Amino acid sequence: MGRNYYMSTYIFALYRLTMRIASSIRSVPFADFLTFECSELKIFAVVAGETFVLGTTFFVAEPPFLPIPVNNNATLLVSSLLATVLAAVLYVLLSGLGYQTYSPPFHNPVHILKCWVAYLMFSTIIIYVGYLLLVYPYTESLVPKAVDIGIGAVLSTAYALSIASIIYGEGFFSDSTNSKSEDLNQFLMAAENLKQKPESDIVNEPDELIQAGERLLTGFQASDLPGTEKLASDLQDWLETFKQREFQGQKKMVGNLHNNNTQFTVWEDRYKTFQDLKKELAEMDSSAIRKVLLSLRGE
Amino acid sequence: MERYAEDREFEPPDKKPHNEGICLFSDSKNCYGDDLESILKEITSKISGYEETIVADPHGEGLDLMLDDPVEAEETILKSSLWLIHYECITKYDLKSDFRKAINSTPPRTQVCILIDAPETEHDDIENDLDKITDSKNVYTVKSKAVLKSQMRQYLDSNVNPKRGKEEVIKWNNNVCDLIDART
Repeated sequence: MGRNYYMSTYIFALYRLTMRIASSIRSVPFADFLTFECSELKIFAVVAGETFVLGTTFFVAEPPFLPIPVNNNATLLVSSLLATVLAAVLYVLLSGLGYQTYSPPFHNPVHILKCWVAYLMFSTIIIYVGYLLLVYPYTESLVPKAVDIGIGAVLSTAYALSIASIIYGEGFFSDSTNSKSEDLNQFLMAAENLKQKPESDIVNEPDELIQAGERLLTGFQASDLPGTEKLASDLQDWLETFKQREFQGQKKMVGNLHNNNTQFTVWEDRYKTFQDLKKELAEMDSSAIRKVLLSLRGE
Repeated sequence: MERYAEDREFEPPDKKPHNEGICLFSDSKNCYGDDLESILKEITSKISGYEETIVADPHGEGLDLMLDDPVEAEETILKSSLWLIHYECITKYDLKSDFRKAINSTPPRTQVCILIDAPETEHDDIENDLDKITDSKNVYTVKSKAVLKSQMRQYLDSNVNPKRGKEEVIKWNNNVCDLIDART
């Protein structure tokens, strides 16, 4: 009984709770705020991370296990600063996670902020459950004390960070991130060259554009995140049309339109679709945090 | 413009139909009061294998190119095998000899339609004014929307449709490539 009994009981209870929450959040559209298309393996990693953080809680929470006696105000100050730093790092990490996806909203600072809030809410709930299991039996107070809130904030952000790190780590070491960025650049560069160059100078640009476009299309089609289905459909239609055109038409499709009153709407429509695609793809060429920093610098 | 391989297939699974350019020489997009795009939409449903072996696109900058530089223009307009020229482009813009040269340099199977939409009483005068341009065997004068639609449909369905004979399409395409290469 005693400490070991409590620990094994709450770890088991939290494991079941986490699996239930993980299962339920995956069944609603909001799940992507947390999972970023997380695989089962990643869900397991979340549970492992949770167990680790809660184990840490076991050793530092007050009472009965706060090992170092510190002043309450000092604890609050340190924990607030630490929680703020960890929360900022969490946003950066989530921004990186969003950049790895093929979904335009996941490159948007506001959308990443929503993910950030979802992460913090999720981790706060888990940490509070930990508080109820670990600290409540001693204090018999549902409302944690100020020092517990401070420590809980640090633990919540650290816990959220650990989950995001695991998911980010797996994505970082896969090839998809680099290839997406390269494909975006190749697609946009080839389109720009095709538009600017005279026909006699055009060599591989249409093929480069088609190849990069098809790789991007595969990425969109493989993703279940918001916005990817429509983008995949639009890109596929546009690419199919582009492939069937000669240079003269291909150049028009990327913006080399003659500004006269005999310009046919069929080319204007195809160019408009390209502009929309280009806008979405360009949005995906930088992460949310980069956009935040650029806007802070007024760019 | 790319050369076609002698054994090229236009149908699926290659999914690379022949792209047929229709070059319009006109001040407006209209042919007998209708937008050329809508005329094209009406006839494409009657073309065998449309979107599979052949697709057609209108290009409207023909007159601008001719006014800009008739010699340079040929590099672009030769790539379209169906030319629709509003008669005023020939008679009013002092481009008679330039059009004659351009038409003479087209390979066989390129079809030139001169659109006459003036009152019937003026037709003879206009045809006289067109002079020897209409002497070429691939030049036709068209005097009504119905005839234009019929000519275009027949041309796209038979003359340049790989479904009706891909060898001729490959030959025409590679002929144009040779002509353009010779100029550059």
